[in-house]
Amino acid sequence: MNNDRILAMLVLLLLISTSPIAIAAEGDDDANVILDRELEVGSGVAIEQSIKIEVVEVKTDIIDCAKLRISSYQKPARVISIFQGDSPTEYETSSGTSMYIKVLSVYGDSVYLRVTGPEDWRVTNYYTVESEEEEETKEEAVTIPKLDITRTFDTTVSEPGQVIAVTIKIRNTGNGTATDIVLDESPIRGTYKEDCPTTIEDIAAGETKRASYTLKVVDAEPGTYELSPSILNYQSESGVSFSSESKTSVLEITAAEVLLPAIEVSIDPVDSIMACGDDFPMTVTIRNVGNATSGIVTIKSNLPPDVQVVSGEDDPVYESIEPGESEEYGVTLRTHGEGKHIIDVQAMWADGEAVDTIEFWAEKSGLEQYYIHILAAIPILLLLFWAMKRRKDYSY
Amino acid sequence: MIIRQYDDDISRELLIDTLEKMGFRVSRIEEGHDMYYSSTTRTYTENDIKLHAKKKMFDKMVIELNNEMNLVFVHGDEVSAKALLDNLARV
Amino acid sequence: MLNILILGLGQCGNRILDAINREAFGSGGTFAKYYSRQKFPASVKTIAINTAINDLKELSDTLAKDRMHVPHLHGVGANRIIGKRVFGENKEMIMGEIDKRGSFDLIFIITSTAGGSGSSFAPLLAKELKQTYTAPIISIAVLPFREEGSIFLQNTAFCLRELVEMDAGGVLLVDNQYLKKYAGDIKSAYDSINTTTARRILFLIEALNSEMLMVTDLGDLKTVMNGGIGVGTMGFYEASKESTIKSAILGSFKPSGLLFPANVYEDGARAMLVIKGNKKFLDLDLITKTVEELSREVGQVFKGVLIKKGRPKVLSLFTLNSVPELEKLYAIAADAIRFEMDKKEQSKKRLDDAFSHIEDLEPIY
Repeated sequence: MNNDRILAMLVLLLLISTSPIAIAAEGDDDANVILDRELEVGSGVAIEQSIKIEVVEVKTDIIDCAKLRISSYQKPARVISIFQGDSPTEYETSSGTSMYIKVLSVYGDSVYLRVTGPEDWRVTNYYTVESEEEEETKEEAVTIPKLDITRTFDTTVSEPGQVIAVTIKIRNTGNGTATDIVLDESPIRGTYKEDCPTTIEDIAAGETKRASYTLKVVDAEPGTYELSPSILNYQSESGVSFSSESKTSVLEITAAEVLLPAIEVSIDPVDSIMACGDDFPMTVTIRNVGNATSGIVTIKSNLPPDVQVVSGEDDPVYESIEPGESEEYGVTLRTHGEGKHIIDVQAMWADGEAVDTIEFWAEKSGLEQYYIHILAAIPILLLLFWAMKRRKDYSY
Repeated sequence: MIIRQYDDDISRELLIDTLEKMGFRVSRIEEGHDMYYSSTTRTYTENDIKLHAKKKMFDKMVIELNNEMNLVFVHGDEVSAKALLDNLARV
Repeated sequence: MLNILILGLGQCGNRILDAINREAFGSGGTFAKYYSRQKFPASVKTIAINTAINDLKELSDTLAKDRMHVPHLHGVGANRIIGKRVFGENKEMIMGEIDKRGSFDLIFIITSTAGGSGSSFAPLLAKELKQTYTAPIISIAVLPFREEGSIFLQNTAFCLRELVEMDAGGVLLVDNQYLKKYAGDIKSAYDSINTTTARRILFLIEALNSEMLMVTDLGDLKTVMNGGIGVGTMGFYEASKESTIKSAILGSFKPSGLLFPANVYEDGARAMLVIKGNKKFLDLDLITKTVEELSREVGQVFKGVLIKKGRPKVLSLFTLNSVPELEKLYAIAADAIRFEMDKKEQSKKRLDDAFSHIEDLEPIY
């Protein structure tokens, strides 16, 4: 009975411990091995014609690795480093099919690779990588247009309403003619493009073309704008699509100068301390700091209820104030209320209003300050005198 | 109204003096000829004077004097009237 | 308004006078004099007269200008002969001071009959005042504790005789011996006697001066004081909640309310009743009836009714036809005098005997 149980547990343990190994082995075994051999540095292998794996370099360091250049149809060449003992590196082709590359061992100038992938994939060619010079000469045979685009503004500082001339210079530095050229200019909010071409005629190799349009600043918020680059999309004669873009440009839009009167009010003295009942002379200056003559300027002063005007002009009205000119008037105030008094003088004109505020402290004069105390002391003193007199009257 | 008859003559001066001692002020004296019938004396009387006396706003008394029969008629607060008649009796 | 002069003679008189002044301030306590005003029911002038300056100094509620010191060292030492001489010497000054206070309708002389200054000044002063003023002079004589000493009894006997013989306006007696029941110790007994006496005098003044529902006046007071032998006293009663005005009136004649022991129903000559209280308690018919009943027993009874707040208070003032208590006092006094004389003679004899030992001797040096 007991033996049976141990046996069952042993079987269970065995099952648990062996199952992942089994799965992994199964995975390895299941995959179709496309390539499983040593490749020298500088040699390459082609799989299914288009997938090329070339050994660029091997390194024997703490961990050995091999640098492989892999390219396939419609995918540019890519150099990847694969370390020995790493899990298989996945490579996905443009069609979405994946293959796995694993470095099994690295030698002085060769590497032992294992490539797995779809079942029907086969190595189609083994080759030796040719020198790059040979490759370049090979490429020269292909005609490729290359367009350089330069965008210039006749001014980089502008204000609303202004028109900016934009010039686009396009130069074909390639060896083929650029066709189907499409200009893409991203818009700026608050501006309006006029006569901006969207297509440009074919440009032969070495030829330079200019295009220009005007940019009208309508109601763009003042500020500095970084304009997105102009993008040119074009094709070579063989139908390959290319794209190039200009540098970004900076355009500063300033606010338009508006002719407006602006009135400032200032009261002199600023803040002060005075005694209750004393005169408080105050000079109010109304200055037009704007760039246009003002219309009627009405002055309104807000006085606390316990502040009275003793003399002077209170709330005058000015027909107009020239730009840069000022008017002033004096007024004398008086208060009997103790404490802080806030006076604000408001100037109102057609377009707005301005206000200046001063605070002044009114303190009770010596006598007034102790008025209550004195008042309270009088009856106490009288009582005291009375009591003293009484005491005297009754002391024999 | 309270009437009292005295043995002796009640003079106008005594009446005024007594009223003043009681704190009343004589405000008006009328020479009167009102006729009264008294059931006590069973006679009609003709009074000689009518005297108005006042202490406070509502504390008023009217005293009529009949010299012929030594009669005093007091109209007003009963307590004060009795006091006056008692005071007049005092010799 | 009546002009009243109150003179307090000697220590006892001074103290009662001071109590009158204190009571006139109302219930303000010790400090009332510093802020309050005296509310005398009439125009009252007070003068405290004494030969002992210390007695004057200890007064508290009498104005300094109303304290008059008659200079004679430190009192006359209960010696009436010296007292009379001192009065004679200072008569002009005293009379001059009184004269400054104007004219008077009524004069009270408050004195103890036992002491020195008071008992000797009072009869002489009464005589002088009688000559100068027409106003009735009522002496309020305070009788001593019987155990105070034979000199005091002797002084009382002579002083009272002189006061009565002067016939200035009557004597009202206040008996310390009788009133001792008011308090335990001597000091508080004196205080309460003084205060009680002061209150009754003020009550009387108020009654004389006020406009009353039932009138009593100065003339009535004179008539009462002239009754009997011209010696009387005062009684007092404050009605309780349940008592009728009749019981209050009769209560004022009860021994407990009197200042001097007397039987009004047997010895009373003339009386005056002053009833004060709220009108609602005062049944005039009952008052009149009660007074009439009293008149049949006591003799002439004058009644005055004052309308004031509170429960009825009755002050009775009466003169007597005979004073048995006083007769008793004179008997004791006579014994005391005789005893004193015997003692003096014996002492003299003893001293003479002692001297006789050296009769024929001369000092030898």
